[in-house]
Amino acid sequence: MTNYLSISDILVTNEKVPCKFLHDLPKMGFLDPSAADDDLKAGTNVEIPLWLAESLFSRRPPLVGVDLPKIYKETYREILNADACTVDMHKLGQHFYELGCYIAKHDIKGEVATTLINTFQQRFRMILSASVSTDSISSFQPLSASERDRTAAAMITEAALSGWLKRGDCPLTTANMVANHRKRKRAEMEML
Amino acid sequence: MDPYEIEFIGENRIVSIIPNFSYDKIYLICGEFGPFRAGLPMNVPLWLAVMLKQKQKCRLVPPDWMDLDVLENIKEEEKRSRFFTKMPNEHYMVEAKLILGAASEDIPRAAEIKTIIKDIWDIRMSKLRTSMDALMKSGGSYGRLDHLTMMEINSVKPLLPAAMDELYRIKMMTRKSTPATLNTSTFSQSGSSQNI
Amino acid sequence: MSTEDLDLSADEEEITAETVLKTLQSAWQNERLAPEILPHRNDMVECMLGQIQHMERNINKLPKTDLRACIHKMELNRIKYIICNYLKTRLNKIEKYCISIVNEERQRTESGTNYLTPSEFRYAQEYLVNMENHLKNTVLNHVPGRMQTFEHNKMAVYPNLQSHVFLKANSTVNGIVLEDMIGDQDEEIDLEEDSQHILQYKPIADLVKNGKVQLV
Repeated sequence: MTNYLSISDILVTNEKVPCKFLHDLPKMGFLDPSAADDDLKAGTNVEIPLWLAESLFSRRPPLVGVDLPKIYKETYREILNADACTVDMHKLGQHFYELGCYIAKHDIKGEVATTLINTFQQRFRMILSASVSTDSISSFQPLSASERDRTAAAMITEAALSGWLKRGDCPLTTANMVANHRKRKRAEMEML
Repeated sequence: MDPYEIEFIGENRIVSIIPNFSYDKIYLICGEFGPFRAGLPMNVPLWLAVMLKQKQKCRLVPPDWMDLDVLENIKEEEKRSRFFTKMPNEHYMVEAKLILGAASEDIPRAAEIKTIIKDIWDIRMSKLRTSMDALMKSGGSYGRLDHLTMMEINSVKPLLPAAMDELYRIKMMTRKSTPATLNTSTFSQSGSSQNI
Repeated sequence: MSTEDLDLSADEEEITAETVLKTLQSAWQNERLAPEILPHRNDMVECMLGQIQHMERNINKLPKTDLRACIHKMELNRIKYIICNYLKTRLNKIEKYCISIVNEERQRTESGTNYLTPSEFRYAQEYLVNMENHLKNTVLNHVPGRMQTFEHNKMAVYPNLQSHVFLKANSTVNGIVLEDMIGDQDEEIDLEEDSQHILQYKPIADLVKNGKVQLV
């Protein structure tokens, strides 16, 4: 659900995904860099861009089967389900969520979908803390592209609000030390 | 929206002043005010009160709720309850900032009042953050937030609605019934015009 | 100075300028916060512009340092800000959702339920033509023949009506159905007067347009 001109979508659909070709395709050998032949044989596994994979998949009969990229497979899914906040999303997949949405369609069991949702919900808390922290954005456990955008937007809002509170003849701010002390006390209260 | 726009909206609230001059009634588009009689209290919009104060033409009368006892009660209630307390009005923070900013000498014990208002604000903001996380974890598509003021609601934009939008999009795109499609819909990614 | 008569019993009903201003403020707030373009309130805008003109004439009769002039001027500036921002917000949406707005407005004109004023509609159409020409001149005319068409339906950007908004209920509204597009669990909620909620825009779009809820 993105618009035609969405740069993010263009980048996402350019990502390569592993596919298995289900039919012989004459003259398409160039798609496989390791193939010697001019023709592509059925059963070959090749990584091709998502836009091509989806196009070939949507033919009737489908010309390829799309496999799950490594980061959406079981090993990684388990790590994410356990504690998504420790994962370096920038390294794992800058477009983790967006690509995941396309990939999830090819996952019959629906486990990718569950992991995506779970991961998103867990990491929301990170973005929440990041937005009120005074550290710069780069000090946080690296985020995916969309997480970074959301965090940056949240930081802007927070800065605008603090700016408003501080301005004028009545700066409504408390010393950081006092603020942290209160936060700790409040945390204790909430746990009671 | 940015805080100044919300302040702008909040400035329409009616507050009480004591002018030091006398004038007939004035007929503004937003209503009639006056007559102004030196030494007698009267009601005007907050933006006008601040302007007159800055021109040293009046004193501000503290709103009923800007009283240490009232605020202490609110603060206790806020600490005690899981939910958000009903604040004395929709724009308490705007009133506080403008009134204490322009006319702190007219408000008895202004410094303490300032501190306690900021305390209440901090407690509420912290509660708000916890609620946001809880809302996302519980599915993130609907929430009820009575008694939150506009400034507080604005502080969570665009983070909360954008996150809820994206979560919804992920759920929609990965639901089992539809076949894989490539870019056939044309919805804009950030739907609202909120960040103009 | 003559005191202004604020009753607008000119043509139709008796509405005070105060009510018009409140309605306009409310419309401005909704327009800022709604994902789609809302029905125009040009009647309110025109009325306010008339009031402003009237006021300015009166203010000019006063000495410049008169306190009253100052007060009135300040109020007029506030009102002008609302009007400008309201119109600017609408124009932004028109530019962003150009193709879809033009299409939808054509249909709405047939049933007399326009959302745009005549001049806004003209603007939208001209903007669309300009955009098309621009893209044709810079890109499409230079690509292979078969790809040269400007595909309106692909290029159209639609506002995200599923986006989440905050609202306050002005009066009690019962039985809002929150469709569950993902599962089968449609939920029904009631909006009590003065309650506040966050939910998707689509189910409450009509309530915004008929004034039963206010976006915050």
